[in-house]
Amino acid sequence: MDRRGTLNFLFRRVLPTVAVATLLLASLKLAEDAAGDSDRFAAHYRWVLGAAVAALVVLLATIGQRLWRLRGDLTRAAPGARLSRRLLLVLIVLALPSTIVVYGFALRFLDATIDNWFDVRLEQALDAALEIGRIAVDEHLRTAESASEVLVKRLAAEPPASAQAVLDETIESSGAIELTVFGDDGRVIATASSDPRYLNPPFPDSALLMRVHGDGRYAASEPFGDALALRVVLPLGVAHADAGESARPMQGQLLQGMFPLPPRLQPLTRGIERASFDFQRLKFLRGSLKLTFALILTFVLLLSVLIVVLAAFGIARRLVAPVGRLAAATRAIGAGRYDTPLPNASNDELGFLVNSFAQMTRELEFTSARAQKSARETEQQRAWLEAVLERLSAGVLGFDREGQLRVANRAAEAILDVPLSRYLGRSIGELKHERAELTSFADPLARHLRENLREWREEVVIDTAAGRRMLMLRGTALPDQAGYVAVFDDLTVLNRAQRDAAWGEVARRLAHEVKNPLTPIQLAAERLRRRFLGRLSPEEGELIDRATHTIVSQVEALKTMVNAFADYARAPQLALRAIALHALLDEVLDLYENDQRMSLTRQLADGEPRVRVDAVRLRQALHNLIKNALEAIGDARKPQIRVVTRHVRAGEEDWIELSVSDNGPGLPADFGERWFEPYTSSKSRGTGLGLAVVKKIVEEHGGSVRAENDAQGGATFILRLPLEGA
Amino acid sequence: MRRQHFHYVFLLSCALLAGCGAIAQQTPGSLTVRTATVVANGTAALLELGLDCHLSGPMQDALDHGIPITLRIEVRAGRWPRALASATERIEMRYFPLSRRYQLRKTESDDVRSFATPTYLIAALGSLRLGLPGAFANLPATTPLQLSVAIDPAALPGALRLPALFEPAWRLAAKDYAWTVAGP
Repeated sequence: MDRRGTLNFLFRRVLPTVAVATLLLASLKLAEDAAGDSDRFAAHYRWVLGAAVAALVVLLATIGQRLWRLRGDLTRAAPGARLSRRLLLVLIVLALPSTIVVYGFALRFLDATIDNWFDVRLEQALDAALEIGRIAVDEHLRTAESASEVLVKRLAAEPPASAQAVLDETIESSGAIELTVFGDDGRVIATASSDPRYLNPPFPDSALLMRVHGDGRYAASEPFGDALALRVVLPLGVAHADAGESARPMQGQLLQGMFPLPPRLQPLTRGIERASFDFQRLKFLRGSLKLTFALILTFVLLLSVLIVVLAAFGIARRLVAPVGRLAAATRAIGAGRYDTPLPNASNDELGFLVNSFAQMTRELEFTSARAQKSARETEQQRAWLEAVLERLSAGVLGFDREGQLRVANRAAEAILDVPLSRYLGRSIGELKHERAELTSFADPLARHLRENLREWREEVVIDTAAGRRMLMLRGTALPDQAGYVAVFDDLTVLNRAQRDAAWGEVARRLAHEVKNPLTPIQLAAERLRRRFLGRLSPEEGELIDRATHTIVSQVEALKTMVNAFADYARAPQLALRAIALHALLDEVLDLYENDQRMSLTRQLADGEPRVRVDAVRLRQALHNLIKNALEAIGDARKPQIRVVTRHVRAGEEDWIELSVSDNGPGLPADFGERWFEPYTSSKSRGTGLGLAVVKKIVEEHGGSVRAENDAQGGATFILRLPLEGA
Repeated sequence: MRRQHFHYVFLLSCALLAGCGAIAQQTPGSLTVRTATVVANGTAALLELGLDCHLSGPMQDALDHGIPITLRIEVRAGRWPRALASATERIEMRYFPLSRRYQLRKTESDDVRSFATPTYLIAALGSLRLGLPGAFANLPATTPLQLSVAIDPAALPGALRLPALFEPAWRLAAKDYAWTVAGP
């Protein structure tokens, strides 16, 4: 046992036991002392009482410590604590009232018993007996006094020298046991004794002498040892009135006579005195006796109560401990710890409960293991399905039977440009309410969900921040009315690719079908001009000149347009290399720096961003944008063009954005993706390929282009290109 | 509920205070050593002792009811802790109802004196002569002597010992008296 265990054993077992034993012994000792007059331990009375009080303190401290521990257990809701408290209260309530009732009755019984000892008639009888005894003693006292007076007379009649002879002669006849003549200085002049115990006569003390001088005599019964003697003291000089003139001058001398009571009277008086003495003594001690017995009973009560409380603690602990451990085991099992040790099963109902609990635990463990395995498999399937969904390029939305969104994959969020995870558990109507731009998507979806069609498909167009998107929306109802799944693909890129391919085909056909006849037409017009211009009249010659000039110029225009289409349709053969964007910009913009038609400002980002591009193609795109801006502004005002670059980070990639802004009328109201297609222009001049070429070049370099109106007026075209090394 | 508990505690406190007050109001007796001398007489020694004693009411009452009151007298010679000599004497005061006499008795001897009234009994304490062991007869001069006189609670009846521990009326003790052995 370690030191802590030893201390624990000492404080929890040994000390309370010692305290109980001490209190018990102290109570017994006090009871013994109160009942009798034993003085065996009388000198240690304080220690006995102190030990009893110390034992009480130890017991109270022990109980207090257990109560405090119980309070702690209750506070932290320890298993079995409340049951312990209830058991404790029940045991105390059962034991305490009976103990207190017994205590009360014992006190009352004690009080009544002690009072009964003091019967008034008994006291009166004892007083009467005492008085009779006194009368008897007084009678003999008078006899003794008479005998003493006779002796005084005789002594007065005899010479002083014969005093001893007179005493010796008289001692037997007077019945005295001792006769003494004291001188005025207290010296013994003569003495005679018939009893060896009275050989040394006591000299009268001052009080007695005062009585003698005051009353002329002293006669009283006095206790001597355990017997009663009659003491008579008479002055010899004035012994008796009858002495008269015969009295001798013996002034200051005293005769002391000690007379015994008759032997028959001795035990009687002694008995009367002792009985009266004991009765009076008990009468006086009545209150103290009651107090002492009450204190003893209180000690016994406290002992009983404290033992009951301690026993209640022990019983409660023994009863509750297995229940508490069962409760703790229940909590542990509830938390999934099935290896928690259970209390030993006893051969009673509690043991049956423990065995049943153990069996239940085993079954729970088995079921739990099976459930965990199933949950793991379900989780794996869910993770696998989620991974599949996340890697799908098509958007997938899952709805429960109430039409609430349960599943949305990443592609759906990207296509719709909406954080759909926020809308999980909400209906498609709420999505539509908060995202008005998805109305064209949500309406058909909600309608088909309502109609509960088994399978359906529909093409929808939505406007997102990234532009208009065309979606192919398909839906199907899950088996057992488990819900619905909607899958949609973004057809925008596919459509655009198809259109780009179509435009390329157009351009190739134009180059082939249109460009080939142009040269003969131009040559024919020039021949007509050379042949007929000098031969015709001036009016006709002017007509020919104007007509052929128109034909040639329009053919040139047609050639230019066809060449432009050819350039647009030509497959990209890029000479990519890393270049400093700002340096290339400066080269292009310097060409326009001295152009009096416009005001050019540049606002470039810090540093020197490097991009991997075909410098020739990028220059062409820049020229197209500036040219587009100049044409958009027109002649109405002086063109102001601002070129800005800035770093942006999007999709965990670094980009450089190059924007060209003008102070023109801004973008038309219906401006959209379509305006980056060939032959879409708001201007009367131009080929309608400027923006289409810009878009084509930017996309060839992995970038993008967009346009927006400025708040102060004018339009801004923004190219976004990937930074080299990002 | 708490107010009721407080009520009980308050009443109990009042009862305890009243009990303590009643005990404190009891007038205690008094005992003083007026004189003390050790007289050497050859190989024997005597302690001549003068006590001023006043018994409390309960003590007087107890005496009149036959309860003996015993004074314990301890005399010690030498400096503590080394004692050259020490002695303990007891004097018993007692009343006899038949003869109506008060008796003063040295318990260690047969020396008995009786008195008609308690006043004479108490007055007799003013001049006591107690025999001491022979060691006291040969004490060197200036040897410190110490005397203590007090009621002997162990000599009280068993029923009275417990109240005597608490009640001031049952406290009777003289202050320790110290003196030295006179030179030759």
